[in-house]
Amino acid sequence: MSYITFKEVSYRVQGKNLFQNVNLALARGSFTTLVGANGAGKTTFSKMIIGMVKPSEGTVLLDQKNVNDYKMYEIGNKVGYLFQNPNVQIFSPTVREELGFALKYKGIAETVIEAKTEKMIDRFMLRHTLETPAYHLSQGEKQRLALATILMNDPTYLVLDEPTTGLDQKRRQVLSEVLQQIHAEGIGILLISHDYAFIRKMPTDVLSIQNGGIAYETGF
Amino acid sequence: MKPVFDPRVKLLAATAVSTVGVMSTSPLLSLVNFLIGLIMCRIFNVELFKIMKKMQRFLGVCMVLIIIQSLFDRSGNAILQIGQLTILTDIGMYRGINYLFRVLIILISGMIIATSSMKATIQGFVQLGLPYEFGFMAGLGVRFLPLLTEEIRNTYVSMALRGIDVNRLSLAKRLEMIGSLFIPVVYATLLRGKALAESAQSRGFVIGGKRSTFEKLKFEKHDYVGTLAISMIFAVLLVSERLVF
Repeated sequence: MSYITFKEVSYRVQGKNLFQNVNLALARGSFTTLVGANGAGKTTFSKMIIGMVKPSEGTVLLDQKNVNDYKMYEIGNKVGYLFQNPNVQIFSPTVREELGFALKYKGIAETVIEAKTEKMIDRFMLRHTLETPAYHLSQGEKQRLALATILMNDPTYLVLDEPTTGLDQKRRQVLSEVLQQIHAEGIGILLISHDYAFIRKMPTDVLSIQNGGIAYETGF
Repeated sequence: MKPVFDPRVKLLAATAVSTVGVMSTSPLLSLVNFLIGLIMCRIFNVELFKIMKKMQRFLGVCMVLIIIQSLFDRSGNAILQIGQLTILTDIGMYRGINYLFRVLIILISGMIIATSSMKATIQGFVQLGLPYEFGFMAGLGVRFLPLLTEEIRNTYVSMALRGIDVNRLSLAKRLEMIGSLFIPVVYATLLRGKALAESAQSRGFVIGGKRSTFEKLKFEKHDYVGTLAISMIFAVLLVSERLVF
């Protein structure tokens, strides 16, 4: 059954159609990558899933319900969204506090937070960063921290906007493995990327945005 | 065809309208000043409604702050009471209205200045005899405002997406959480400032350095008329602030 559905979605900006009558269904647990040229509207498209951008026409359904009928925190409990710029996603001075941020406010027991935090620190190779202020981390470390923080929330679906930006070869390899593990655990992923070398390693369907439409890419 | 005004006329207009806005203690004078500001927006081709629509959330927050401020003002005669508790006084209401007009006037001033290009605005500052850096800073502020707005919005959404139902939190926890929002916003601003400074220095920009320019601004007939009209209108408003309002 589809988890994210675009029904006849059109989006216009400054009189120009970015997409027109897009129909798309992303199943729970699916792994899809969206590619397209700069300015094609990949980020805009992904922001529609979290209700941050409203379509000019049509509807976006999340778990069978119009995304606009959810409160933002309800969407956050279903979809984890990784922004291109990880700096907008870090709210705490240390890595450990950042990982436990949401769970602390949700009233989760300290021991549970601690156990989950430890797991994420190892999974995302963040142990060496524990003594460093979160804002002094490298771009790649911040990106991994932001992703780990999102996963602390146990989302059903992940939307990742250009997650390989600023990652070296080794870290890209680590990210590739982590994403495959996450997918194997049943979490759906929508990856937005230009990075064809990275995409080729993934067990993913590839969609392409072009000329106001979205189509499946073949030959990957 | 509508005349294109010199940035110096726009700077004068923005200065005049905001000076009266800040000095006015009368809601009526503030209203007159606001209406003149609106007329200026029309003359200087400000896309007022488009910008206001984009800023509706910010304006909403301003409205709430103004209402709260009015409610906490205890001076004057009560106009709304519940039992023994005074909710709103006449002076509180007047002050609230005045604050509202001040906020709108400051926004209008920014919008008027932003109708000229950054380069023209800086040149306007320089030809007015003001330091180049003032114009440069004002221009940068205007140019990077949309970018910062976008970043602040992303930060806000990113926090909301952490899945925390804010309504269930105690007031102390809510305030603590809102405080955390400032960390990425301030950091992003500092980072952008640093990147800008490095970029400017790498192109040979030195504070206090003497600069030459190819383009000089020249007053046309409509600029003289505009300057005269603005000066007269605001001189009358400032005098009437003492005598009439």
